[in-house]
Amino acid sequence: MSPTSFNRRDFLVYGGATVAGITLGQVGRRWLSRADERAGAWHEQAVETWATSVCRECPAACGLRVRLMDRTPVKLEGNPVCPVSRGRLCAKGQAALEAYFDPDRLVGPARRVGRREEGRFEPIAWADAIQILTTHLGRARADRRGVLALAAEEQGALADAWTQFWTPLGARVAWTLAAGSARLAPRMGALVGAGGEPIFDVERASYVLSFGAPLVEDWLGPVWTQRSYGRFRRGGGRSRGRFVHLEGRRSLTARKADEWLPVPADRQAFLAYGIASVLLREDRVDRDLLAELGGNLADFEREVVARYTPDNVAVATGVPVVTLLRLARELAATPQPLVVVAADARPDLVDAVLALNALVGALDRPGGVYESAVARTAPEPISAASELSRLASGAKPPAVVALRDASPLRAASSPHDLMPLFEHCDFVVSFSPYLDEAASVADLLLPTHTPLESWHALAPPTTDTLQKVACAKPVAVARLDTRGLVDVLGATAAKLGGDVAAGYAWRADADVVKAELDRLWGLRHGTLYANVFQTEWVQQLETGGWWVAPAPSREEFGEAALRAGGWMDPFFASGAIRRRLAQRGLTLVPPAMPIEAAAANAGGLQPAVVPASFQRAADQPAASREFPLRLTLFTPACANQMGSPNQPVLFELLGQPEGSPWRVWAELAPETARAAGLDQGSPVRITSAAGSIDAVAMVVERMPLDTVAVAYVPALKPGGRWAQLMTADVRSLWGRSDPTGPMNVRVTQV
Amino acid sequence: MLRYFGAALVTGLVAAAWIVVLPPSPVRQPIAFPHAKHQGVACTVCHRGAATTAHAGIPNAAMCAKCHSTIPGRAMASTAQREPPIAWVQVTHVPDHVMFSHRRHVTLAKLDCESCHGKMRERMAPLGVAPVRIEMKTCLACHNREGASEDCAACHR
Amino acid sequence: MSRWGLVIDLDRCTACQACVVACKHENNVSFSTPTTTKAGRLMTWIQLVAADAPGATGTAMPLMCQHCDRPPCTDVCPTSATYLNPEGIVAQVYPRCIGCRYCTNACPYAVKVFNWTTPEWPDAMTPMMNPDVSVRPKGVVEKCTFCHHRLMAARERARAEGRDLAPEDYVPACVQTCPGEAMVFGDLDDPHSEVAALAASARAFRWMEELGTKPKVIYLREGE
Repeated sequence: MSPTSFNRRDFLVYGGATVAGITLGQVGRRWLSRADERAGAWHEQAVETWATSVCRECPAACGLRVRLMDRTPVKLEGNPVCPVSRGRLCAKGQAALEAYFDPDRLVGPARRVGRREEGRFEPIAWADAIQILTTHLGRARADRRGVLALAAEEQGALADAWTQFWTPLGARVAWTLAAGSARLAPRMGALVGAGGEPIFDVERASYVLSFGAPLVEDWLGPVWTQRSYGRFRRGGGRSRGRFVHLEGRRSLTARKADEWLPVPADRQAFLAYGIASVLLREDRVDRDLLAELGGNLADFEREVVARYTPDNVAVATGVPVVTLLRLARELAATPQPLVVVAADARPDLVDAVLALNALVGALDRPGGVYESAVARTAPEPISAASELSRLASGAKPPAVVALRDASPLRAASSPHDLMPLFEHCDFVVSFSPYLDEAASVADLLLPTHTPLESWHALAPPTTDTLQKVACAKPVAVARLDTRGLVDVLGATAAKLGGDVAAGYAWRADADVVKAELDRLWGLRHGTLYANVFQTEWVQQLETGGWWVAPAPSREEFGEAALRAGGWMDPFFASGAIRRRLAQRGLTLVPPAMPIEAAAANAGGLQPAVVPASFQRAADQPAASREFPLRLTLFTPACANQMGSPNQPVLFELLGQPEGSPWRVWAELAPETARAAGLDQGSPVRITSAAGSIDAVAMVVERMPLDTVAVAYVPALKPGGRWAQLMTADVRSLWGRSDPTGPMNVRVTQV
Repeated sequence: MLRYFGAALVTGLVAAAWIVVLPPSPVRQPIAFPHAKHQGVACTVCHRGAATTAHAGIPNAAMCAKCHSTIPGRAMASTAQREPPIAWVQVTHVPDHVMFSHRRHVTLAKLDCESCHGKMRERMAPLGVAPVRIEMKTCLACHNREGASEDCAACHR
Repeated sequence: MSRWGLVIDLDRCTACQACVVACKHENNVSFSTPTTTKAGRLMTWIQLVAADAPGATGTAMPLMCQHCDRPPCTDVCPTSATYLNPEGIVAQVYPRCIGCRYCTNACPYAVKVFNWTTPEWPDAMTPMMNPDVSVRPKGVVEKCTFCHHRLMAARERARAEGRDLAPEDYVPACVQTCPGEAMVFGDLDDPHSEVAALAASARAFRWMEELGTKPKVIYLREGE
């Protein structure tokens, strides 16, 4: 086509093409503007508000401030006026947001179809679900075949409402005992007379000797513990606190300690009495003070000094004599020494630790041990772990098992193989909102609200001198077809009729919380959750005899308490222990353990510097040769045992800072690792008689040579999308054997 | 044959040029709202957040009803009686990676609404296209002139 | 003009990782899977690293962008997407970033992370996003901003209330949640601020300061 040949036909074609182009362009513009209309559809911008709630990821009950964009929670912070959290949150508390948004949560009530192994469910209506529960409970009561109700341990009005439902049904109510919930009151009572829990004032101590207390982890509640530790280390104006820690494994706490002594829990009491013996032998105690306190010091001294010679203790614990002497002298030399103990320690160790505190003059002084004003009135809770062990060992199974949450099945205290556990129970009902262990064994799923959707009224554990009740109302609308726990129990009680209905007045969680607020109002003292200055002020007022109600009316009190996040009474009369001791004197509990026998018995009780059982593996029976290492489990602080099992951010925290997120890890001594041909970070397989799991090796200096410590991260195959990615389930190592017994394993390179 | 290729090419080019060069076709708004008839009311009465929050907000039917049901003789427009929200189409907006706060510009910097939204007071019909083209250079010209922050992170989130 | 800085007391830090989670939720940082972490593509703006810092007893330290006064990452950026802002924050402008990853390689602390894939959240989780922070697309480098959006919001609030910005108005999410109270944030140029006092303490050190990067994250070493 040359320019000269642009004829009429060309003109028409190109002219037509231009018109077509314009038309097409116009259609395109129109289409784009319609697309704009859809994309630019104006919607109400979310308004930011803040609301108060309570964290329920562990029993510590930290106060929460929730950032909401139009009733949708987007971020959690600590509640600054909450005496437990003081505006701070731990990793699990932060991650609680993901529990509310968990995309694999149970969407509503459901009933199992087929056998438990098949894992098939069909959705049903709430009314039908409650009818099914009523039928089974009614039948179990008529047959007298028993009901077992399991839940994570907590105290307060809502926990009482749970117990009140089951008691008239003749059910056994057991609790997953929280590792951080201290049960030292009976031993404290033995030392100083009837009393409450000991309160360890770590914050103001100048020297802390810890017998297994995870002081940088979650000892008595993660936020309180870490705040106390931080202030103890670097408190305002004081010199740095020194920290010595005893534990069988080189935990995070052991690593942060100035000195770590690898002494396993069952031998720590020897060392505690050993130090007491040195203190008395070298006369490094305040004799005047002890004389004032009176009691059986003379008997105790005779017994301890005679039997717990430094040589005996050194042999029994593996701690050299010089170290023992030095520890005793350091304790005596520092102005405010404090000896702390793990919350779940054996009674003999607690006795030894409390005696040691008495000897160093730590009773009733800043940086020492106080006694809680609230004496525990409830009986010792029944342990869910022991109930499950009984079940596993073939005890008469209950007809109905009720699981409020999956904690009994997730806790490291009872790593059972799930499926066989309930095979002889007729009916298992779960109230957990999550796709967790409870859901995998239950026949009926009654998903209750997640914490952000729930009412709260509970008593945080005793960590300081404050008496507290945390309470809050729901901050977020229920995302799915879930209900409040008491709503469900109340409806069921009404259906059951008779004495159950008569004995159970509650119909909704809100009723329980409001009744609790009314009770607190009736006390007419204390204050709402408040900042430290306000708390101190009320304490001064109350000490001076000025006791007033924290709000002018019942209604205002209820509203204000829910807004503040709780009620507390800061009144505390220090010196209670000494006043009581002035009348009855100290009752130091002398050691019951035969240290002479322990020292004489060579079996494993050699000083730790001599590698004992590992080297002698060849002398042991064939079974031990096949599985030469002792397995110990530890629970990483980021492993959630109460809440959602499906929080991706918590899986990312595993294995840090060593850089193996999403992995279960196994800690080995360098010698043990070398013998097995392993390096830091090698993939390993841990094999027991019953099964095997894959993990990643972590080489830890000064670990006991015959031990492999494995992070206990409960994994769940039929779980949510992230839970499924964790493939190593430690529980499979036990199979059907008793999880409380010792477990021997083999570690091999993969 | 060549001619048809050429014709197709011309159609495509013209269509593309038409879309790119011409201003965007106006969008349709659900109500023929006349700003000019509401001159006696300050902007922030209906756009409630303009002075106090990041987002100015667009009134819903309930907001209209506040006046239209109380002032006698002015029957409420039938469309406004529909259930809220009204399906307004946003024509003036900044990209998602820009953080714009009305409070910062209206209350703190005392900026006139007109500078970004044009002379809305005089309009009888709702907007189909953005009255002022908002580009980064528009923002920067003003930030530069007024001595406001020219740090990227001040606006880009 | 302020010069924002952060002091982390390693004596108080318990390696609990609350800061890691707080940062993740505050800044819409995407989740990982075992597969992505194995490939070394874990998305975090702050994480605990095992460090043998002088005085640190082989324990962990939280490591995030050190907000260097002489940042090596900004020098190599071909598009000026990353730069040192007037208040000392090393910022990253995501729409400008072309994903060349020069800066991730130049950073000696390895704290700039690259979006290898489009960040995805399940539908149920999208309402959880912080509306103040954008979601970065695939092919863009992202990093700690000292929660700069909190500064903008705090400054606006303070000015609307007709007062000066108080130190407690602006704290990053990691500092706010730290249960051990190990982190202190503030203006290093304010001689009365707590950070300025701590930064001058005998225990203070800066991570890899021998490289001349002049970090504004200051660690306090463990021990006496």
